[in-house]
Amino acid sequence: MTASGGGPRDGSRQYPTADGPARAAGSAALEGKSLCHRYRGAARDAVRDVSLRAEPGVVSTVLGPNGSGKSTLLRLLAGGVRPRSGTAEYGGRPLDEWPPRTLARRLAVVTQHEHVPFPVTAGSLAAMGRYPHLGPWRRERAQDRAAVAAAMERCGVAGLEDRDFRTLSGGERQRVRIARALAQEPRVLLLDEPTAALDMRYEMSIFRLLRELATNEGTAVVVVTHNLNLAARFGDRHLLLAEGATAAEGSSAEVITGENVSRVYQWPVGVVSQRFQEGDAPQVLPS
Amino acid sequence: MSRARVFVPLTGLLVGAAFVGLALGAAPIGSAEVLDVLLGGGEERHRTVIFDVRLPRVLLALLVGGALAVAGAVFQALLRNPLADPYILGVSGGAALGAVATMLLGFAASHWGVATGALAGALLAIVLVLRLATASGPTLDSRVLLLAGVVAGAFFNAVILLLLTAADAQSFRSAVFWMMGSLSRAGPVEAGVLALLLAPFLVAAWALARPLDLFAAGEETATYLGVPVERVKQAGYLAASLAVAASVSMVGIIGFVGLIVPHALRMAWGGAHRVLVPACFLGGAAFLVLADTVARTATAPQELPTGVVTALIGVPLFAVLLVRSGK
Repeated sequence: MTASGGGPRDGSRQYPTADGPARAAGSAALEGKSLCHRYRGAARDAVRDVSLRAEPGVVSTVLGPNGSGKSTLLRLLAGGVRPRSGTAEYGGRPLDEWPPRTLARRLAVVTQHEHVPFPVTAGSLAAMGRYPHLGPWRRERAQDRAAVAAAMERCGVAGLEDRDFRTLSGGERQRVRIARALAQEPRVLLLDEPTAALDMRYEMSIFRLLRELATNEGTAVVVVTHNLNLAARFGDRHLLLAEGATAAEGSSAEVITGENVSRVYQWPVGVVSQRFQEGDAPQVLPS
Repeated sequence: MSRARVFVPLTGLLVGAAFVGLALGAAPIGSAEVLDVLLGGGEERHRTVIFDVRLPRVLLALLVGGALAVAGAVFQALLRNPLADPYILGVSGGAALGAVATMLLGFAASHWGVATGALAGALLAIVLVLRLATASGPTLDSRVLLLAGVVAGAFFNAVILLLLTAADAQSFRSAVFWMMGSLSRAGPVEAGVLALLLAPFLVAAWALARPLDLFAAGEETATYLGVPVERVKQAGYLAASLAVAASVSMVGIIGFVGLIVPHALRMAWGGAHRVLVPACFLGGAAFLVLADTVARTATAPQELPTGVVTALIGVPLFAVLLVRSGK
């Protein structure tokens, strides 16, 4: 990750949303409308009537306890799972109507787990992100190699190209996987608990990176996370799920309240406001 | 990674193996004479031995070894399992059942009859396993496919054993020898037919190289990277299975080439399939040409079954690989 962070900011929580440079991308928003999904044999819906709009330049977070439907919602938004009802659309067009490679040039997903059964170098793994950009002969061109190098540089894993992915540390692996998603040059980036099991430094650097991507490049970021404090600090919009349904949504101040968090996570918490270089953000202190 | 670093040594190995295969036999021919014969000269009796006997056999070993190794690489990639081999989906069991049934029906003497029976059995196994695997859901679940293949293979084996209890001594012997794999029936026609049968499947495997790379990241991630996962799986399983069916029906069951060669090459040069697929063809071809040369010369004039030789060489090699990869 670049060390500079999001740059100096004034105390307000205004990120370029409605009228930033990203708006030029037009309707390049990912939108889930009234999404429902139930797994085979399950007693209740994993996701029930949830809507979420990921807009250019905005970091949206999906919050909620274990089993509240966060990962399923992300899969529905990514097109990996078809909703039982409701629609997931990119640019106003349902995801399953997009040709897979065309969609993969706009939408990138970092899943929660990845088990790689074969020796693969970190460089090759990151280069997989260029697959949707390759021509009919699937040959990598100079621009593809440049995009992979830039993505790895940006994620702080330049220099690890020739290492076996499976021998990297958890933090390095995760950043190589994010580099692969960035190599896709997506307009929308979906991440499922990208910082689970990472130490503080990697966790911070990944949230900083997501913030930069949204602010500087107009990427629409959707991140599922358990870290309420970093979500409140780096996210613009939040969706709090409980048992598959929307429990609260809106800005940090609206969603991350002692009342909401205590109720949904079933643990008493206090919430204080803390000033960061990114601005003021509510921070959760479990009782 | 430079391709020349992979293909130059493997091509050299294959050419060397083929040369040794042409030179060695019941009556060894000197290397200078082999070259002479290949260049259009040489003694008449050497020309006959090389062109009518040894060259077709070397070509058949080359094709079968290459095809099995490529099929193994494709199965390993799709099943995301480095220990998958070309016979894991029961194709060999179906082929063996077809071959044994044909022999018991009295066609044991007809080489082409047995081959046709084996091919029919292999195709039946492919259809059966694919239908079993898709019966439980709309998509092709690789784990279900693997189970279906293993179960079908076990069932075919049981039926074969049942049939063999009723077989006379001669048919029994033919059946067992067929299942150990042998290239002793090789002729120019066999090699030519197999080359024609295999060509489309080998091209298909090579064309799938890029998407196969992305299976290492998992099917879900491959989907998000734009791979049409279902189509690649269907095409890959079908191409690899048909290549195995064609090879097995021609020479019987030859094990370990399709397991060890892709595994060893992956460890040596990594997993990029646009290199790995052609490398497997070259490596598998060289391995089987050498193994078959051992099979027909080690105890000459008595021939060893080629499948036994590949296992005898392959198993210790594989054990070494396993121990090393554990480190």
